[in-house]
Amino acid sequence: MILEIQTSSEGMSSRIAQQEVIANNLANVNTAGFKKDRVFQEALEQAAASEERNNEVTVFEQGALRKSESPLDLALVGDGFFVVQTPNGERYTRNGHFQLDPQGLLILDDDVWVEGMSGPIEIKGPVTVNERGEIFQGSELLDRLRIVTFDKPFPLRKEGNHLFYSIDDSASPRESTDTSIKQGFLEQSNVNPIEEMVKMLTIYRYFEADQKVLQTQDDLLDRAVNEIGRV
Amino acid sequence: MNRIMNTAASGMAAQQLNVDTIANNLANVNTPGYKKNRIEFQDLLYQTVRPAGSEIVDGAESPTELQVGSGTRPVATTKMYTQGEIVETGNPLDIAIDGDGFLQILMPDGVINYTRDGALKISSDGKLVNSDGFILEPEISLPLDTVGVSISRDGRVSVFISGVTEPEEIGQLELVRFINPAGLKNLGHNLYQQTTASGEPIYGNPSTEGFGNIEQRYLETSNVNVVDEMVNMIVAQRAYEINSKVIQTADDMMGLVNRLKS
Repeated sequence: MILEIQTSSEGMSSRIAQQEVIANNLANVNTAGFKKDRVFQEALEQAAASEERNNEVTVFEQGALRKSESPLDLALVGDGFFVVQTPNGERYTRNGHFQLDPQGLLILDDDVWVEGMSGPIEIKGPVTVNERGEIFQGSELLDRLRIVTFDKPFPLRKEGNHLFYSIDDSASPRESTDTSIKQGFLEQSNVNPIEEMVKMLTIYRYFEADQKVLQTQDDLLDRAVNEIGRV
Repeated sequence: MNRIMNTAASGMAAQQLNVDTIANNLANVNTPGYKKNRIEFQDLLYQTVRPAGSEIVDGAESPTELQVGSGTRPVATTKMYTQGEIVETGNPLDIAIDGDGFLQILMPDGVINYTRDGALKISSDGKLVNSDGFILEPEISLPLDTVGVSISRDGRVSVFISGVTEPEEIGQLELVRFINPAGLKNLGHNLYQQTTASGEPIYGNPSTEGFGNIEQRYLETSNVNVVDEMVNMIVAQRAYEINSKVIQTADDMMGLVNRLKS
């Protein structure tokens, strides 16, 4: 009976962890390029069923595109990622809200440079970017954005600040050929608020049920100790 | 459970700032030369609650790790320097820049600031000034007996003087542009200041390479699109509401925990 109380309390703790993941998804419902995380237990069940042993926690589903007007906003359609150089090494992102630094280099954030096929991309004036990621200034080809992808499931983890890092050094990224780039658009968060709200309510009710079970077990224990055991 | 509260609170704070930005855009829907702001969000750090490979029950290892994020944060408000609509005003001292470029305004402390607002005025001593009375740089002085001003598309300023039939050229407007205009600092009063992020100004005359044309008797209106802002506001409000529901749910869950021992 004590063991059962232990099981119920573990259940309650796991529901809290699930709610934490949902809270993070919902907090980022408006964050460009954000990819939702799936609630852990589901991922566990699916992984067990298909015997996949890789990270399937983040859902890399395509987000909706939204017109943004800025010529340095680029959206990816397909499985690819932008490659950026950070002080901690190479990172990958789906957020194409780029800017220029004072030297005219294309950046995602301070000290986060966007990689072209030949290193950082220097831009000195209005540019157009075509679907293949080739950057033109007038008719002159400046560089091509490096867009990479991985074998599925993606060996990627979130670092925060829109960045993903690779957890598997042996899985080297390869050039993505079927990803197209849309200039003047941003990919929106792929969080579906309805789905998350429904999950949040469901988990809340499960949590409530767990609590009732725990209380009942405690009552039973109470009787066993104080009534049956009475001399 | 505290983490849920903090995560949702970060979402609420971010959406609050989003609404603030939208409110400022809407308040400036009729401000000449105003450029709208957009707010950007980032996800916060992720914590690994349970690493992959840790034992869940006897003999069964967790195949994935449990990573929990800690919410969102606003990182920047970016000015969108898209062209505003150019409308005719008929006033000879109203100029609009059709294309890239900023006018230079000399502040009383000797610093040069930049603007897209071309509603120029004449000071008591005949100089071209902006609406706040600060002098346009390079300085252009109109003779006292001026009866008309003409500004060409390439920025040459000519005046008609009473009694003289031919216009007389008295100055040339100069524009500047920046590698990264989004890095300019907003000062209010339609003025921007150069920063290390914007880069050094690049000088040039209107209609020359990379610079826009000057249109006399026109003003550039704000580039705020009311429909877009309204849609953004609805999205922001709903996102705010959703995050407040998360807090309520977390609070209810905490209540259930408290009632475990009644």
